[in-house]
Amino acid sequence: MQLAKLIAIAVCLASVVQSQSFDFCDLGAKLLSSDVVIVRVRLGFTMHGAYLLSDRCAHKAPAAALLSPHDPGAPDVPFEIDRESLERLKPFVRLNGGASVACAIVSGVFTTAKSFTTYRADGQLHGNGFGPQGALQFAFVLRSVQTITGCQ
Amino acid sequence: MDCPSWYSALLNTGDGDPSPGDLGNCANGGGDNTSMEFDPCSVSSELLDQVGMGLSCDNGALPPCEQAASSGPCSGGATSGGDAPPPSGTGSAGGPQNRALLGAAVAQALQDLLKPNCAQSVFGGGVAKGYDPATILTDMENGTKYGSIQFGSVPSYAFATENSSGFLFWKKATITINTFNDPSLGIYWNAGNTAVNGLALLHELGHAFNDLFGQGSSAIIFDANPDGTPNLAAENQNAQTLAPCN
Repeated sequence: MQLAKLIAIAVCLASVVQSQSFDFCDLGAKLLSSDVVIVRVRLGFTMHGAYLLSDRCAHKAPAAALLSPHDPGAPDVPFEIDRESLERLKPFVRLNGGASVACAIVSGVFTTAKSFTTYRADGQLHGNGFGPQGALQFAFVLRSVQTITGCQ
Repeated sequence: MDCPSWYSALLNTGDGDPSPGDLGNCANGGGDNTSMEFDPCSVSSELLDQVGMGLSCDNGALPPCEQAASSGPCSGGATSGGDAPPPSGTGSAGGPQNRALLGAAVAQALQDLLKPNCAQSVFGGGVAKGYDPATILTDMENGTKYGSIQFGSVPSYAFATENSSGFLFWKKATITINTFNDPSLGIYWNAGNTAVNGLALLHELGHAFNDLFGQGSSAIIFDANPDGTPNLAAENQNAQTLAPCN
């Protein structure tokens, strides 16, 4: 009985922790996965939020909003951000205006807006997704920042 | 452009026009039906239901993370491992928070507007139409004709957001200030820095001016791209625009 319980726990942990490294531009169906993934990505920071950028991808790819566990819209995730990761993010966060870009390897979970729809108002894209105007279909719930450096 | 088949399937989950600008005409059937490796067991069953791809896990099993969520030992174990608690809290413990900081921030913003070139360079377009930024800001502080300033849950990495609703004369702007605070990550509203808070109010007031009185009413430009992604150059330009108010 004990052995079966241990095996069950091991299988569960393995499925949750199972991680592979991907470039954000090439995630494809992994965006739909509820697995924890490790992603190489350009992050953009502004006073209105932080984002996984796709504007430099060789092919069209969706951007994603960067969330923390417990943020509005974030799904329940079985992890928290560690303090060390927040320290790594701090130099790039732009709460008080301006913008910064960082190249990073981060881990976390993607989430998708349910019944995502968009509309234009006053020339701006709005929606029921993520980001200040809700115009992004995807978000990434951050678990850790493995490396991060400033980049263009 | 390659339009992955998984994305086409995902788009069918939307009710209306789900086309995010990022993927261009993929939403309109431009996919090339590229076959991509796709493990349905790695996707939540709820999403699979929405997508309607006819996919399921072997033996009807839940996807791994849903198994984890429905399993006591798994969900409990996954939250362990030495991770620190989430960033939260009030930062300036015991000090005023949220709306209690608004009066000082508005007062600071009104002072900033009196600085040379601040009101004219940031709100010149609206001033020319007869709208005084000090009056509009005070009005929004009181939540009357032009909108309101609210305090709510905004994603952790944002200071504040601004949105508008209604149309024509019934349009109202809402500035939502993040109640989240983590001093180790940066200066949030609840850090109680009046200078920072006042300037942030002017930034959001600039967006509100454009929403309420038409584009060009403020030199604070919309800082998202047409597809909803952030416009980093616009954010930097807005920081420069506010320099006379700082």
